[in-house]
Amino acid sequence: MLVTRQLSSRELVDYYLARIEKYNPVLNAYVTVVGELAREKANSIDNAGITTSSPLLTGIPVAIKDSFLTHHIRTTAGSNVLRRYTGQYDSTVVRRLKEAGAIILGKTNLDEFSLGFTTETSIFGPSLNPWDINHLPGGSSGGSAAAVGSGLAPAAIGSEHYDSIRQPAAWCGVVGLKPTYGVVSRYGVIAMASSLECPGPIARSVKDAGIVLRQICGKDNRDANTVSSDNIKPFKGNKSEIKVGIPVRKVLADVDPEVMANFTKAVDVLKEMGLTIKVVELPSVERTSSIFEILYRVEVSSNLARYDGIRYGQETPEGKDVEEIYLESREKFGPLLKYQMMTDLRAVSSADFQMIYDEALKLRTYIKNNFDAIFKKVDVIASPTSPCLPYRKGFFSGGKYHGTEITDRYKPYVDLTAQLPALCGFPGISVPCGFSSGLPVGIQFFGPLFSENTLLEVASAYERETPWHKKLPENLS
Amino acid sequence: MKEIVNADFDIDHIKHIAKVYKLRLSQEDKVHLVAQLSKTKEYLRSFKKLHKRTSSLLPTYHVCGLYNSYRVDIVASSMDLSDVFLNAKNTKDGCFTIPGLFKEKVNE
Repeated sequence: MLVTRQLSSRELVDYYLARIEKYNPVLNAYVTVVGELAREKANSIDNAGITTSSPLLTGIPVAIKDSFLTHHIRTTAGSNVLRRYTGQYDSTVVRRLKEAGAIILGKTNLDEFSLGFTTETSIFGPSLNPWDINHLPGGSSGGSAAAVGSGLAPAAIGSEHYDSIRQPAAWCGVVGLKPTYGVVSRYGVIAMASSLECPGPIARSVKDAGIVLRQICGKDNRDANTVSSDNIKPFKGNKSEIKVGIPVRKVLADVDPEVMANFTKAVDVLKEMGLTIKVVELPSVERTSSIFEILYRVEVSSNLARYDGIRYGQETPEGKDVEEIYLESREKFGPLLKYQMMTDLRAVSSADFQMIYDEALKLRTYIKNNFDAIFKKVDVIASPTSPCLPYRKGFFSGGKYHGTEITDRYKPYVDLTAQLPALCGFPGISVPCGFSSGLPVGIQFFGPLFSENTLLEVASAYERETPWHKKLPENLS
Repeated sequence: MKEIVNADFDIDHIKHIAKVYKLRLSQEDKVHLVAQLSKTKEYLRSFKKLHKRTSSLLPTYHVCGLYNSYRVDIVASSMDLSDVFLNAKNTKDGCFTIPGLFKEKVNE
């Protein structure tokens, strides 16, 4: 429509800005909106004209998680530590989106420094679920998922260490795609756990998510961990030959019955599509979170060490010495971040920690070997993205989480279906697979390294057979 | 690892970590964190149990198998100084300024 001029980029931007103005005060999906910048950019695109040879996202508005640096736009990571920080350059993801012609609408809410899964740890307060504002959108990329789910952006950028794109996408009824580690550059993403960080798209459809991924992926000289997009394996063969693994019943026992009912129906659809379903045993590692926590905490603590109050937008009070500035600046970290640093065993004994770290990395090899064996039998593994429906507001308050019997099931399940694959760098995608009590449910597919095209094919085929992605929250239409 | 697994964490450990990470903690926080740190120690015990499964394995340092991957050494223009100092409240002559690290007065 933009190419045929049935719609101008300015009209599209105005449409989303009007919705943001109307609904964001309630949903709190955006923490910064750059309306004037977006309109200026849209005008300039319209004046230049959009043709079939224009970059693929020319004139399309997008939202960006507020942990991605944006040149001359406030970038806070949802933290008091960076409340006044303005991006000094564009992250590679943002630069590539701009080069593809996309227009930034604003920055979306997240858990402080991406640590959390509700957005309730953000200094801006929680975003709310577009399907029911008494519930949360998930996190850490909850603002991005809420923005797309409520029609305040056609697509958004999120990032995840293990399920921070897919879980909020599932809770908001949209598509979330976590690429293979290294496929999308982390340059300019406010760092937490560097060996796990994966930026990726959140969109209304699998096709849109694939289009955005293709614009942001690929080797980046500014991130030595990136790989060429040529590594992404092409999808070959017939969809009906795809084998889908389903975790053994023991793993799914932690899933809420309402979620499980939707997942079971989704598996039936996959069978009807002609896909082969096989039950698979996920790697059995006692207390899997121990590996994750060891690797995660040391990386988080290292990355947070740079916030010393000198370079990142804090006042330097008169008469204070450097040590006091450090202490006062770092006092602004939220309780969960302080906890991560204070339980980092490296600070107790760095020599011993090297052995612990190596042991964790060996366990990573053990898990990877297990998955390699599973992926000889199946092409992808499907499971409920989240074992439960979106949490109610107030899950995190007073500096801690308030779990219930149901919500406490979340962690062991996610350890197996999200943390372990993430430790291996595997890609995954969540697509809507139904509703329960008026709230969305998602199914995720994850596969071996660089299997994005297979995942997109499977998810897209499933999406075509089901109506869930077409639904919009009635109160926001 | 033996040393940490067998360590009994106390307030002094917490004070030490707080100093490393430059965090100011209340006495209540410190007491709470002693218990939390001890819980973390349990992770290490679970590692020991798994040692049999991992003793013959090599660590996975990078999931895609990248090895000695460095940033490409190419000449590029530097960030504009106005951007470098965009967030710094106190600057002088192209430098960040901070309070003096040493207390002595300079004899002029």
